[in-house]
Amino acid sequence: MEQVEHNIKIMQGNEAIVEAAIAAGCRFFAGYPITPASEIAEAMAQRMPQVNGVFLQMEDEIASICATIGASFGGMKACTASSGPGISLKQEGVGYAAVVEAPIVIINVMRGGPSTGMPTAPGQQDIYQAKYGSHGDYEIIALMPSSCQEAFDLSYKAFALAEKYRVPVYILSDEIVGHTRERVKIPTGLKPVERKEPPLKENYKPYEAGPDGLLNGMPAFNKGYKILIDGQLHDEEGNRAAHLPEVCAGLTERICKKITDHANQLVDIEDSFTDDADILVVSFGSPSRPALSAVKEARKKGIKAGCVKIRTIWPFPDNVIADLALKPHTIIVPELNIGRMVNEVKRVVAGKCEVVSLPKLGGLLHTPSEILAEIERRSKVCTR
Amino acid sequence: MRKEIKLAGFGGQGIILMGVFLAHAAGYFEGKEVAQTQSYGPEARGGACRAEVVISDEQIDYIKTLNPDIFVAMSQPAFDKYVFGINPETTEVFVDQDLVAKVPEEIKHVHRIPATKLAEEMCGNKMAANTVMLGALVKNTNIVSADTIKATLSKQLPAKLQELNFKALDYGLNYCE
Repeated sequence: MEQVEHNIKIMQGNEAIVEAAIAAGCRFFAGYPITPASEIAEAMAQRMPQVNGVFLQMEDEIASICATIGASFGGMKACTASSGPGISLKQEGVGYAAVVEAPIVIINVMRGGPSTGMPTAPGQQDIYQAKYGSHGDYEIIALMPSSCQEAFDLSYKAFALAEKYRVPVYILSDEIVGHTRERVKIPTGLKPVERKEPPLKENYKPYEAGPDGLLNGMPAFNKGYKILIDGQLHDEEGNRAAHLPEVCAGLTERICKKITDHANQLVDIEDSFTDDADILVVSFGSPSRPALSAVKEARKKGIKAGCVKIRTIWPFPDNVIADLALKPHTIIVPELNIGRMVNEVKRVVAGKCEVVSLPKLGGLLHTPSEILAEIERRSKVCTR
Repeated sequence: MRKEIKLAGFGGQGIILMGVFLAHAAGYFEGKEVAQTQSYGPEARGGACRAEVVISDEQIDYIKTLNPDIFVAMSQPAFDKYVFGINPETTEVFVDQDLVAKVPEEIKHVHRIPATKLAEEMCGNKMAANTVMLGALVKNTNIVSADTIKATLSKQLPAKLQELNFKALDYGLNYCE
């Protein structure tokens, strides 16, 4: 018997990430197993040798991310994966990757925290850790899938963004997406993400940026480029420059602005029923699915509700959310934490409408009826 | 049309595999949207474990079951723990008749299937009880077709387990209550 539609596979979110990484040309994975991300290491261990790639089980999480950074400068597209406690351990490497501008992908299959927390239950408590987890000023990009298809699509995209912006890119998945099996359509003819070589080898300056703050290509060791890689703040040639305030200020500013200045290009949202919405549900990751159910139910009851799913959460889509906030009287933000992203929404909405937090802790996903109840409550208490 | 299936039993009875097979038959061979989730970690070990499958012609927004159209229980503790959410008037309930003795009388559609007994006595391996149950489930609900579930078993099972499972599936498909 043949399948009805071709190129469809039934796979878990964690498996979809692995397949997307391989499709993007990732040939190096270093990790240390942890629930609920272990299937990624498991599948990588199986798949990497099949595609002439390298799977390394490292002694710990710091070693894993450091090996990933090393592999990236060795000329490979590389990623690592973990969950809460492991991601905490990786933070030293995240800051290092940011300052040496290593294109790597870090997958965090989020579970409930803090600390050992709830190993087998989902959470979205690490969204600020992704942005601020390592010390010092730096910026990263973070993408959040809400389905197995998005786990595939966004993981592929993560490798492309890492190369373009020379930055660590997070996939912030969670236990629900990681362990749900769904249909995943793998596009035909998907080409590996291109790694651009720097144009010049003579007088090559590894940290000489263009006017947009971005480095021109990614060099590899043993290819004729003179490269110096150091976690200390450095000049364009990579020499330590901690004694040169202007150079240090310039580098710090550039590695932040190369991301924030491109925030509009990095926006990735999906909006439904927003045109005439009085109430908007703004969500990301797993809760955006019951949110959409709830909004559809609300529409059936004659309530003008709409839905916005944020797929790139860092950099935060300030301008888009600010524009979307002009019409509705209320924005509801359901999230699997104590109420974090709601602060970003409040910041950009700046009082233009009411912003309501709908947090859910304890490792459970909102049900559609919980979100619907909040929509109904707010539709009765019009704040305008 | 959205259909919700909740499967429950002891850890080790192959409950989650039943869910995976149903998801595969519907999603891979019948072209429907599917979402399959399961209990995980300590919850799944020993006592009661659970798998959930949502099958739909449209995009599936919420991936878990809320009011299952079909509920399968392969043990009494699993029945008791996961029976919540069913509609006693409409939900099709399947139980292993030798492992689930207490079923509330208000539940209208109860299918008592000797799945473990058939697997053990007729197929020679009680590990195939889940496949017997799967056969009975497919026969009585048409949630997926017998052809696609057979195609799924062919594709997913290692060769050495095929004969046993096809036999078990046939006992389920042909069992008359």
